[in-house]
Amino acid sequence: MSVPLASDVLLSPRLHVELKHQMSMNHGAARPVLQLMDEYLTAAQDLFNVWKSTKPITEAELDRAQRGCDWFVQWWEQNNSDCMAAFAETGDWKSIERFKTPKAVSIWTLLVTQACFRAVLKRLSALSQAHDRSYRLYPTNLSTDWLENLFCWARSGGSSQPHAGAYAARLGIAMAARGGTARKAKSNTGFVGMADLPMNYSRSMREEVTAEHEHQVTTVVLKKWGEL
Amino acid sequence: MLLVDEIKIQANLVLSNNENTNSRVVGFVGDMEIDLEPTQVTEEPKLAQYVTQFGYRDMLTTFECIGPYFFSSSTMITSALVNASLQSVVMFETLDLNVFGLCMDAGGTNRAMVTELTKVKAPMKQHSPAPKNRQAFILKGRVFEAFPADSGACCNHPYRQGAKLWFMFDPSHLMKSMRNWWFNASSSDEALTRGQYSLHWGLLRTVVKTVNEAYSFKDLKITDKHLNLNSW
Repeated sequence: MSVPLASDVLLSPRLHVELKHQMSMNHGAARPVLQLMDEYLTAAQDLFNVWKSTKPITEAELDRAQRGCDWFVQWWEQNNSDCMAAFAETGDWKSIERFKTPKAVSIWTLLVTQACFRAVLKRLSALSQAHDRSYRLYPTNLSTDWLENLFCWARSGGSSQPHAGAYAARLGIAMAARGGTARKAKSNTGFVGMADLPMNYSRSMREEVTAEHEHQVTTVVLKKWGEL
Repeated sequence: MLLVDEIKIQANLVLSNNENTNSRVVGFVGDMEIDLEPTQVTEEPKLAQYVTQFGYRDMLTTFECIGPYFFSSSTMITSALVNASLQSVVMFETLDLNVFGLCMDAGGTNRAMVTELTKVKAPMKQHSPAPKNRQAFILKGRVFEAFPADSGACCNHPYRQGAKLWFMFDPSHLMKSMRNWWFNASSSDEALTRGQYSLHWGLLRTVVKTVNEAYSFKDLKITDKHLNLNSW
């Protein structure tokens, strides 16, 4: 069963072309609405074609994503011009409830993500200069897709939801198989349990980490947060 | 980049037959070595219902590895998630796997964690002058000034002094929420409007229907499932 993905609608180039065609044919009352839909799709495509690109991206492409972000921000401000006016007058955002609505928060998540992409690109540029080689940003590496695939692995089998023991066991198999083919107990490597693998967060490792870095985590981090 | 996600599991007790741990009953919160919801002695032990899983993904290569996971009896509360995230960051850093940032979906707890960790800049003071035009964009108590600047969502790194820990939300999930805005636009008071015009989902249905009727070939690849969304 194919899953209806949001990208099928928002990132469909064919739909966009058809929309342009209908706009060219329609000069009546429906044209402004079609234009609004066109702008919405353009903004979404500017954003997600960059953020979900499988090719390395550059500063210019992030600027294109920024244009998409700006469209959503401006759209929100236009629709909530009374909020923005009240905010400009008082400077007190707390009294304006609409700043906390789901859509306002969603726009905030867009801005946060765009800032992170820029930070990653800046960091990679600095690394490239320092090491005199080219490090490029692949946006596909900045997504939780891999973790979602892992969950698909954990859900496979007899039930849609594994219980605690099955989750650990299936994770161990996924780790041994490195996301590819499952290795059965009769394979040459045998069944590899969780405790045998280096990345298991076992009690001993936890104690080591905690003892060595507790001071760093609690004092350095918590106090530094306050200094910013 | 450290990835965070949550999965629901069955709340059952099962017998673990792992050779290394001997046979024991697992399924309680705290079974996986770290007790993020410390229970009092007098309290009943809680059954695990959710797993918060961490994973490490390298930004430059295809290297990836599975990180720690934590059981919780309900959707993890913010303080527990902050605790788990910071411990995971430190764990990977001790293994020389540098963590630049956290990538997560835009769930409520995750957003609360970002807000919690990044609320270092105080909101605009009451007596400060009002901003002119839109020099500042304030959401959730943070001031974003002309947002392209890299002053966005980051906090001090829990392991490396002088470095920053950045936060981002998974683009696929953000795209889904964009689509759902549009889908729910007609019934919401925050509808996608401009002036007297409103963008609603019915418009997409009309466009798709028009295209499908106009051409004999159906290459739009937008089906009824895309148009009639359900809770799944």
